[in-house]
Amino acid sequence: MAAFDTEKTVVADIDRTVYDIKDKVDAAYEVSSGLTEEIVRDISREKNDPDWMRDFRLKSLEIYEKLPIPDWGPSIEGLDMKNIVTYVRPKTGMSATWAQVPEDIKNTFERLGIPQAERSGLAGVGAQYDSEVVYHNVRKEVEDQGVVYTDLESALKGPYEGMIRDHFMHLVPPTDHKFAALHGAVWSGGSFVYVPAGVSVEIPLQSYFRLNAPGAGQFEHTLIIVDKNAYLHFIEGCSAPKYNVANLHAGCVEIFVGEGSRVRYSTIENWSKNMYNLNTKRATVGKGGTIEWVSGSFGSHTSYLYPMSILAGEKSRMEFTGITFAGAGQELDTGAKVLHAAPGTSSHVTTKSIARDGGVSNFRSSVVISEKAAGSKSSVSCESLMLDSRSRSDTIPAMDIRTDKADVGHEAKIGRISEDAVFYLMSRGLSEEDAKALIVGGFAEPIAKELPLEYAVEMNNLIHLEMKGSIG
Amino acid sequence: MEKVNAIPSLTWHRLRVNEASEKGAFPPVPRRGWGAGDVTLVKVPRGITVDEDEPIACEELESGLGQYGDRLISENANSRWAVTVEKKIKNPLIIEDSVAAGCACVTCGSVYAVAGSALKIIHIFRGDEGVSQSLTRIYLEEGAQVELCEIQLLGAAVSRHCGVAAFGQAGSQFRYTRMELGGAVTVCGAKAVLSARSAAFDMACAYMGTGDEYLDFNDVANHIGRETGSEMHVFGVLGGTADKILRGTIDFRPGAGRSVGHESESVILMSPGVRNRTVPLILCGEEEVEGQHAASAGRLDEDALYYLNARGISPEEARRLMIEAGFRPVADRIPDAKLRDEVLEELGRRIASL
Amino acid sequence: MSTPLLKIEGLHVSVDEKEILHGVDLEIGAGQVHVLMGPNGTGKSTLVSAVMGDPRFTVTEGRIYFKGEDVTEAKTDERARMGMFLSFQAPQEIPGITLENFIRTACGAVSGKQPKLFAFRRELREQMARLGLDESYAERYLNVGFSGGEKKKSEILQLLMMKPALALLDETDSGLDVDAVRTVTEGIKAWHNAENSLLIITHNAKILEGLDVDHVHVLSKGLIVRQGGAELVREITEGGFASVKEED
Repeated sequence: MAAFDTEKTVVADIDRTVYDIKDKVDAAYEVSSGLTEEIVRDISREKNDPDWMRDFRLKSLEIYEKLPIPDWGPSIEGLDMKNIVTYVRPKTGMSATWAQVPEDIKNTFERLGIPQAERSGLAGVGAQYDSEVVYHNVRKEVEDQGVVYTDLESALKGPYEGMIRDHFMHLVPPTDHKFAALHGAVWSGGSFVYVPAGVSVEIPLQSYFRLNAPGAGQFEHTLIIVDKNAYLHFIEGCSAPKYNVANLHAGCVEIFVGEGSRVRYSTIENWSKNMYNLNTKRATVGKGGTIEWVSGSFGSHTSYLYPMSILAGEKSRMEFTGITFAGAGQELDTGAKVLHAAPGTSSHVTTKSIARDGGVSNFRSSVVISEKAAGSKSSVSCESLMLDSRSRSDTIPAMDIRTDKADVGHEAKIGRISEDAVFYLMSRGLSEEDAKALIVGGFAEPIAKELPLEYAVEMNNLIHLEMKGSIG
Repeated sequence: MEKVNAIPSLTWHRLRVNEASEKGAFPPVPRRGWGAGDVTLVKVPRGITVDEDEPIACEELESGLGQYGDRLISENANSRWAVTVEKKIKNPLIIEDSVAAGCACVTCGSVYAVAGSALKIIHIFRGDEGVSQSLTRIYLEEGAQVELCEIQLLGAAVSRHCGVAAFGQAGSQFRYTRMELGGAVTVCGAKAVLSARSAAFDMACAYMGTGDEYLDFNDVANHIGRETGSEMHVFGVLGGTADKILRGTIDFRPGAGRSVGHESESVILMSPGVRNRTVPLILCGEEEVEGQHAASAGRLDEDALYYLNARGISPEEARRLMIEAGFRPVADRIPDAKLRDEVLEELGRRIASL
Repeated sequence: MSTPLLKIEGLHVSVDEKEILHGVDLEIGAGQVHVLMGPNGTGKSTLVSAVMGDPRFTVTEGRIYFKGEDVTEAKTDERARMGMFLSFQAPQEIPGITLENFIRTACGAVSGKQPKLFAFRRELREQMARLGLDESYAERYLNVGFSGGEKKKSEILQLLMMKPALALLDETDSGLDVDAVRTVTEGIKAWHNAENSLLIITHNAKILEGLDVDHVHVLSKGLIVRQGGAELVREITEGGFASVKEED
């Protein structure tokens, strides 16, 4: 514990320094609650948006006001829409210090056994700093290849403005759903990636959440454009639990995969358990291209998360590998969507979900094979594990096939930990807790092996951690 | 507008699967009403009497069509039948609804099966034009066994709505067979409530959609009691520009420990204009259950086709055989040999014209 | 000499772009019994599958002649109708089609006319009895729930009923007990005559007992490395493939 106390001081120091700077910026933007045109104009002015972006925000706001709150997913009644603007404003984030980190999250880090240096990083802005260093190291090599990797806001003011204008929210238009419209109105922060034709980015790009930018975090926009015959692995570093009091995340990810290119997008989300995570991710894939999604959802209070792939080019492919683990107080509604819009396309979805301790872990999917997608194939396989009867796990897939020349398969399974397996392991000397953790780990293994190593390790730790105290 | 065949747990509205589309709406009753179609009790086995007084226990049951559809059929019914079964009846009760142009059979049936009793019912639907609606509500006391076999041989101009509701007490078994071979619009919803220990629901459904037919299914197994079981298996073939939605739900309620539910659908798509939507739900609020779903849609199994080809059977003939093979296990459940042969023959004719 | 029943010339066969057979020549005359042996994974099944026209196998070079006709491009069902029969290693299970209905349909397809129901039924019962298959199997769905041995007997039953000119038996004896192998051999003998021919893939001399083997071919790594008479069977079953490969 002594080591931890020392560490805490360091982290707290870093926190305070950074947040102190921010506090001043924030003070200038005190606005009344409620999302109004005035506020959107304020944000736009603060960000020095080009005119078109300001107009885009205002139009999104109009759409936002017209669209209904979804009536089909988990309840979001606990989300007070009038307070949203408060979350857009950096104020809540800024006052956060290590001391304000909820006790259970601090304990989580302890038990996770994350290395000391890494812990100070994950604990707050230090993480941001640490990842910048990693990223900087990478950036030199990557830049030499002509790759652009920067924050979206500065990119908007540089030579890529035109490209951004041609792509920004074209895949996920504000009309898509209420929270996409909200995102369009108040988005802030995020990354812009451009990979030129023929370039293979060998080292994954990692983007950690930016708490230090004004308004960033809750509504960040990630725009990735990969030209022909290129490769990119992008890792969304949301693995650090958020400790600020913000409770809405409505980010947006748009990925354009060029002809013959392959993009892999990996995420582990481990938000704190007061977060409403209403995130939208979408990719469009050109001829012969591939999008691979790897997604782990562990945190947040409520999640709506269904990365969508539009297979627009002939013989384009998508693969989705996901795991969702819902514990006490959590309702995680996750899955995938795919639209087969060209001949010979294929999609492959594999998911696992685990529910325990009163948590709700739902799988939801949509596979559409359009008239234009003759010769396409799709397979969806989802498995759910229920660890007790206070929890829930619903499987809600949908298939819409509009051509006879397609092969579509779907499999779903729901079940529990086999008593025989637990008994077998216990007969070999394992405790019941360890036996169950081992079995759950095995259940998650096919997903874990798709994750970048450090995330896989973390996921495994999380599972063991979540399973602790689950017995008795 | 009231909803028909609404799914027990909503999903994206954009997919338009949450309830039957406008195509599946109940046809408006003409101002002067429909002419009455023929409803015939073809065979009434010894040991039961058929009357019109519906037992109250049945009245409260809800079918897969939902309250609105049930109410419409029940209010507009122009024929009613009710059976109370007190012992094991060997021979099936056979009922035939026959419609014609301008006519409707709106048939409201109910079965009350007392503990330990057993009854088989075959309900046939015939006619080339008109309106065919039926609602069958079945209450099964402990250990009762009821088998309902609905055979729809309607022509391509009939509008059809069919609701089935079953409530099973401990150890009861409800076996349901549904063959839908025609009809311009076919909207069917079956719901079985497995209220107590070891109640079981076993459903086999086969359908054929051709031309611009619309087919809409909403089948639900509610597992409430412990060790309850549901099997829901569907085979279908779609040709022309047929448009089909199948919703199948296994709902494990908390307390339904050691229950098992399996559902599957296999669809063969015969022409590029078809639309095939499938929404298989497993809702689970209980740890100790086993739930499984499998769906496949598309072309015929290539390995099986090759095997048939290797025996000299042409691809066209092999396709016909495979479709027939899909229907066969469902047809084999018809508990009357003569009727089964008639259905197989009719099936052969309809497959040939696919 | 008259034209051989089956003639394979310089056959190259690929699966998923990978070449399995690298130029195989083989001739089978009317009335002959040929045996194809070789270690696992050398392309024996590939050869018979290609001869039968399995769409998963691509002939990239060479020709296949059957009854003097070039069938390299012919569809599988055409080859079957010409009198070719493959006994599958893993016969398909097809629910919904009864064994009887299936065989009757197949016989009708091959002969061009639907067999008369009663005569067909009588013959089917006789042949089933010969193979020790219970009558009730006729009404069961094709191979569904059949044991491994029953599936193989179902294949031989089809052979007996369809009376092809050429039978390709792909390890029909594998997984069978001694008695079942004897029954299968009896079945084959009942069908075999001076007109029709056999190509048997086997690892085991048992299935050949009582059959006059004319030629033995040893396939290794996609090529025929050795040919000979019946004596080769004993040589291989006793000494393994190592002994024969040396002579190549």
